[in-house]
Amino acid sequence: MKNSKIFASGVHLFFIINTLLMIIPFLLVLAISVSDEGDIAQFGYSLIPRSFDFEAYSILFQNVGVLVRAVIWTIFIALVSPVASLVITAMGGYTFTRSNFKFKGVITGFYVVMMFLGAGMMAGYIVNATWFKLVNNPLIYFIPGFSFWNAILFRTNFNNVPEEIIEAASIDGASEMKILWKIMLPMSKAIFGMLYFLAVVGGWNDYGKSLIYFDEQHSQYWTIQYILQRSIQNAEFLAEAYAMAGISSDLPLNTMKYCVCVISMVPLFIVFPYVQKYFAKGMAIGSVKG
Amino acid sequence: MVAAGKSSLTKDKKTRSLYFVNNLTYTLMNLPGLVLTILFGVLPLFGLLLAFKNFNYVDGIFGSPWCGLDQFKNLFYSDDLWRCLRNTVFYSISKVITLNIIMGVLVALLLYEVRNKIAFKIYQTTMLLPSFMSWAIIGYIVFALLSYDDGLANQLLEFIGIEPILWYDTPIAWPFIITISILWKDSGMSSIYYYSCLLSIDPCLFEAAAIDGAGKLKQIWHVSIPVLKPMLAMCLITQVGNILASGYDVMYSLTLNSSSLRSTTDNFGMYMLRMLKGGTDSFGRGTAMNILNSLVSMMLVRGINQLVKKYDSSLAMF
Repeated sequence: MKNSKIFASGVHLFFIINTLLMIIPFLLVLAISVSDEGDIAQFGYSLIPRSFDFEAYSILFQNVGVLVRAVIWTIFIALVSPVASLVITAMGGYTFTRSNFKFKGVITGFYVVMMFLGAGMMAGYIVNATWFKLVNNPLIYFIPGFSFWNAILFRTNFNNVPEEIIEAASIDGASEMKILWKIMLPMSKAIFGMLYFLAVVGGWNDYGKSLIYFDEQHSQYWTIQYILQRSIQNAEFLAEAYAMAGISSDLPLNTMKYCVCVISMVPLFIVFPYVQKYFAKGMAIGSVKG
Repeated sequence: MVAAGKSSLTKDKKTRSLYFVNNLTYTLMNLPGLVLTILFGVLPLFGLLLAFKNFNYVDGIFGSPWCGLDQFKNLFYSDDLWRCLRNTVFYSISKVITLNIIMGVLVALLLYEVRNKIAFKIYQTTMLLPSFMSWAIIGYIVFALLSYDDGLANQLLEFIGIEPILWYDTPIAWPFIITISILWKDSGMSSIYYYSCLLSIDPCLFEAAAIDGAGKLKQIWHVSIPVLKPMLAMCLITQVGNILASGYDVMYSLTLNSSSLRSTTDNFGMYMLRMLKGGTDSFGRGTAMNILNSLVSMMLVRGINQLVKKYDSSLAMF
């Protein structure tokens, strides 16, 4: 009995340390963003700011152009681009549940082969650049894709819908699309929600497409994460961006960088509870069985 | 008699036409996915031809002149290939062992022991938080810790009287920094999969084991671990392939693309990114690396699968 009590408190101790380790780095970023630039130059970064200073935030928001536009553009990409992919994937996943579909074997075989035959980053870029002309083209963010893994998740989930309901609907004259839209998808909201929110987070966090497909002349298409990445790699990047907008006097670049970082985290903290809710539900029904 | 035969004939016709219509709809429903996969999955395979060509935009992929195996020869004689190969294999194996096997399983097993609902919720939420952040943000956190002038690590070193270190110029430290960053970011997410496996265990099994005199550790070893085995095998096989397929974002964000750290942080992804940004002259070399990357990744997946098969053939994927 005593042993098990020690074990239980050990477990709690482990997780309390773990929780602190997970949270403190975010507090550090927040602390740096509200620190005084002079303090940082003198003492370095610190977890508890010596004096609070919101100048960096006010400069960032003074000029709405650079940053706010990137935030809105990234939110738009993140929310819109996963929809088509998910609908296409759900349609495929639905046909894989139909026993009378003749080409099921051929099509799944094709997707399985394609899973192992990925062309890779270089070949993909070259074909997108030469044949599809997608370099410096914002369409690159919105190209939907069929994900075989997700289709399998959908299939597993659709298989749980009782066959009688589908038969009843088709006797009443519902078309296959209607069955998918009106019966299958409403009955698998959790999996749809999970995949959608995961894709939204992925879209918000992606900087690879901006990095690979857009040059400096097309910086209006850069996503917020890429601007974040640029600001830390090139100390002058933010200064240049604001000089172009007419603000150039003595910018607190060190704190401004971390302000951009905080701004890029805020939307994630907002959607995180939803993501987690759907994630827990989706995990419970979908992937475990599959 | 005649009437009955007639009705069954029409019924047969009806089901046959229904079968046809259904199959047509199913095919149409698959069409968008198939077209997209052909456009952005099959056609890029032609891009691999560039590894054997001197590419220029005017002649395009098919028109550019052939150059044989020159690119591969150059790669084999240069340091680049071996450096990328070494680092890629090291980081993928270290990630699988530390993250997917040790931390993932450990955290899941401990989380399973937390009985308090509110505490469980807090632990799990905070654990998942970093895995939803981008690598760029993690790069900022690492920079706040390791920056030469302002970083917390150097402040600490100074405090205990050691010379500050130029972390972004010290390649030997980065295998540890990168592994720890990956663990910090993804251990929560990787434990979730194992945790959901543990939920499928019938609690009676633990009670029975306890009555038979098994302690906590024995219960874990004989009840929990066997349940996790299939999940472990799947993670092993898929993860190794995944990391090799992508993987420039971790290095790019954490090292801030610093060229002095290349000896320990350059991998296939970073190399291809450099070639891709380097203009048409380097496309051939990048594509040759792309092909080698795919080959190595396939070999590793096969190797791990073979290992798993040797251990327990029912756990192997193919």
